[in-house]
Amino acid sequence: MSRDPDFELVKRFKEGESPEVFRALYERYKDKVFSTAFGICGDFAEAADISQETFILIYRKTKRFNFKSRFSTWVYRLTVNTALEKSRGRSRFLPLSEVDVEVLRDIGDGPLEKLENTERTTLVDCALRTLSPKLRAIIVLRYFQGLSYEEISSILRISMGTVKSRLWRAHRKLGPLLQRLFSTSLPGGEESSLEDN
Amino acid sequence: MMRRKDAQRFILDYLDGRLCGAIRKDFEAHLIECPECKEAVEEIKGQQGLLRDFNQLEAPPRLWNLIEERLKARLKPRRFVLFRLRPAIAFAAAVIILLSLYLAISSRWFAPRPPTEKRPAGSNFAFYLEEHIWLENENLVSSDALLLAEASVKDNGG
Repeated sequence: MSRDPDFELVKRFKEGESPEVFRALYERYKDKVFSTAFGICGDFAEAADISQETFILIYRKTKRFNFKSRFSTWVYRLTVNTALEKSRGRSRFLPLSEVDVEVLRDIGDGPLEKLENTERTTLVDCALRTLSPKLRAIIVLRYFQGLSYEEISSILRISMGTVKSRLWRAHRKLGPLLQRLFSTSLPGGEESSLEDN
Repeated sequence: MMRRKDAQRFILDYLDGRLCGAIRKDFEAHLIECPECKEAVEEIKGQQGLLRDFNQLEAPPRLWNLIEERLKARLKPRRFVLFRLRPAIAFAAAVIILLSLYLAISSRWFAPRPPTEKRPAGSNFAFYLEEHIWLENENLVSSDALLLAEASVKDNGG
């Protein structure tokens, strides 16, 4: 395994617990942690809570981190575990009206592109919310964060086979829903098919 | 010839470019003959395109302030140990204190007392007299009584 890119920073933090070094780690991971949390829980305020919890855990536990895995793997693991813990017992499906469109900003350059992208992102996000948190976590790590099967397997502490089978199940569930959402919402789609269901 | 069930297991690997050699050839041969698997490949490919377009969100700027506040609160000097007792420990401590108080008090109440002499029945009057005389003697022994006794001796020329 190549050397962990966070090695120096983590080592410095472990030695002195300096707030500046922690801030540097925060800057490096804030968007990844927040995006992962948002992808799993689907709620802006809750994603902020999860991110907060995760960074507090990082601050408290980095002293015990011993580089058996990459620091990024460990950070993702803390994020996913915190998000799954929070998602437990919550309703699985959130209606489209509850999607916080304001969050899905800064996507395109021009206003039209931005609008189209926002709509597409909202639809994908809506489809994702029909999945269980575990399947969502796999999708988020694989596609939003672009991690490999090996990394996902290490983060979730499951076998590669389980990663693949969960990903396959997630795709099979997403397929019909995405098709339906896009056929009703994008130009030229049949407006009535979603209402009928 | 690859079966459909086996082929489905390879769809994700195929799309990720992880299939190679004979397996890849078998899989591609299967796709030509199996419209369902071909459709599944196209569908998942489309989904992957959509999902990969999902941009990373930016963390809200005030997130750092919230974390910093919580860290500062954690780093504040700790309060006196008694106020930080957890409820379970506090409860156990209270039980122990109450139990020791109870034991201390009950040992005084229920401890065996020194034996008292039992008087025969009907001797109550005799006992009263005895005690009364003793009290009278006691009065005499008191300092005032002694002074009076001394004065009377002097007056009498003794």
